[in-house]
Amino acid sequence: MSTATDMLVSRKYAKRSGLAEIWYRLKTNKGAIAGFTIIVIILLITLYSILFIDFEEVTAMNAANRLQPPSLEHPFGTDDMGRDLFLRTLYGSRYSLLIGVGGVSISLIIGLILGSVAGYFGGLVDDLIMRFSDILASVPVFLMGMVIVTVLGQSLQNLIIAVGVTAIPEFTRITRSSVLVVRNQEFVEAANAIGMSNLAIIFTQVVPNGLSPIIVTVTSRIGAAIIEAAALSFLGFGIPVPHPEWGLLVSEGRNYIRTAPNLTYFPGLFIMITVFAFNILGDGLRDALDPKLKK
Amino acid sequence: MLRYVIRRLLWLIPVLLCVSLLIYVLMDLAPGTVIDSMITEQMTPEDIEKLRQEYDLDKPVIYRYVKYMWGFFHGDLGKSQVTGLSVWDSFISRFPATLKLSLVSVVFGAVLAIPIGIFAAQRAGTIWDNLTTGFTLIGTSMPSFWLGLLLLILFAYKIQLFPAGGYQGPSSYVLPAITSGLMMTAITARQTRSSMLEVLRADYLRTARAKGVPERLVIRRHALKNAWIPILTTIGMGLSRFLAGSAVIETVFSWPGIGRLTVEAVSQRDVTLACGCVIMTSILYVIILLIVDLLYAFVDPRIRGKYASGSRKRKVTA
Repeated sequence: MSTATDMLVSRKYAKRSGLAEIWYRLKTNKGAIAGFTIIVIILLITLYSILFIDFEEVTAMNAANRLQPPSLEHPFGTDDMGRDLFLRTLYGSRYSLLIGVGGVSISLIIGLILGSVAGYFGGLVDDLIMRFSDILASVPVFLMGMVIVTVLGQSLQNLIIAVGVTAIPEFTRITRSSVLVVRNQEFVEAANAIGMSNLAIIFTQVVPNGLSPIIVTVTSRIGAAIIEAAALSFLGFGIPVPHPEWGLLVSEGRNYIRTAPNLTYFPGLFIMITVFAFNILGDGLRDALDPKLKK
Repeated sequence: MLRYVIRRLLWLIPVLLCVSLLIYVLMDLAPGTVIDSMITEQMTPEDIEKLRQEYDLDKPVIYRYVKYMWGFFHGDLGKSQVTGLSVWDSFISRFPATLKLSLVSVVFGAVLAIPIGIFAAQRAGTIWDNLTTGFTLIGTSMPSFWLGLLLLILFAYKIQLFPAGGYQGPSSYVLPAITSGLMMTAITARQTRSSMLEVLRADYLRTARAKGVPERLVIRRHALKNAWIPILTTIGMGLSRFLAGSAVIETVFSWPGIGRLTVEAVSQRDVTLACGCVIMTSILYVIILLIVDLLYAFVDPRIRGKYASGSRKRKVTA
């Protein structure tokens, strides 16, 4: 059997497995680490707000405390109803995270199914699905979101649906093109030869091997979904008051933009930092998953 | 080439039918109807019934949709259900504001983005590259309404350099154009950087340098020419998105464009006006994408050749 030196040598030069190699490249990517750290901090803030901040605390009015500038007691100041903006902003993190992750899950699941079916079978099925996706994509994204929220009514759940539906074409397209790349490789042929069903081939052979571009899109789409939802809320097509969603907070602050710009600064800053974190993590993932793109 | 253009324009018909059907039926499903705000205390049930009949609310939605589309194909987009004004007139009166702002924003965005992208690509891996990449990442992470409000606070309230909104005179374009332009700059600069990076590694660039072609010309004649297509796509996508009217930016800067018109129509359940706006913006969207596709042929002789030979391979959308 192998000696101690042999083991040392083989450990040092061992070829890392696919996943370990990706993890290694991700670990050495400063942007990805920074993004990941920020996301963890935001998750901790969300956890803290769920455990320690009551809904009553952030919605109760207190006329005496109206429009206070930032101070030690109220780090972000107070709004026109005397509510502490710091607590409201912390409380609001849950909405954005839920919308980002929930919305993207919807578009991912539907896009994954449509795209892999289109790419795998080709022909008429492919044509039908892709034309449907083209049609959905030619409705301006924002308008689609507004109409969906109007139809379903204003709520967190419906905002998630609106944001999710608008990104379906993008996920369909990306899944389809990565399926097209994988489909003609020999291991798919082999799976076919041993009698696997089409469905099993798609989900055990094709999709896992074409996953990289999809993972990258998921990460950066979460950021885009958060911005989109904030913009819908800003225009009054989001979660109804008094829920302190970040886009809604900015829109409320807009009424006092001359006298109390702090009401606008802080919630917007939180949106930007969160989205930024997902974007740099997405960039890092892209570099880690696709060494071709790097250099 | 002409056959291709005709085919693409014919594709508009199913797009319009599906998109309008989708929006019409969805808007119709929304709780509340357009007559809710017209009903007053004094009205008898007969009056209300008459009102319902006037808007065809007693008939199935498909009847209203077919009637609407019948009008549309005869050049009549119908009347707004709220104001009673012609949808076409409302759209056309708001369109110039959106068109002008879109063009200014796209030019501003592209003029800034392409040099930034080239600059970063040439210095790939250096601190300059990281700085510009950081800048573009922050740009794509900023909600446009927030950036707009920040610019308002700084340039309209703190130092009163530009008007705080409205649509009079060239100075009113500055802040909204910077807001939407910067959003586009961030995306286009990233695209320019990555497509330049692909090209910069090519052998023919080394050949060009070896021949003694000055670096400036290497970039402009040899590299940029081959990196144009993805850049053009990004700019085209940006323009088509702006032309649909940026509801957010138009709201922040009280800009009387079609973005705000559409928001108003949707929130007032004005089915005809909302549908008209959607149909018109979808037409614009498809046409802009067609123009961008045709521009490819203009920039890249290989694509031109493909049209000429008539054996257009099915475009694989990647």
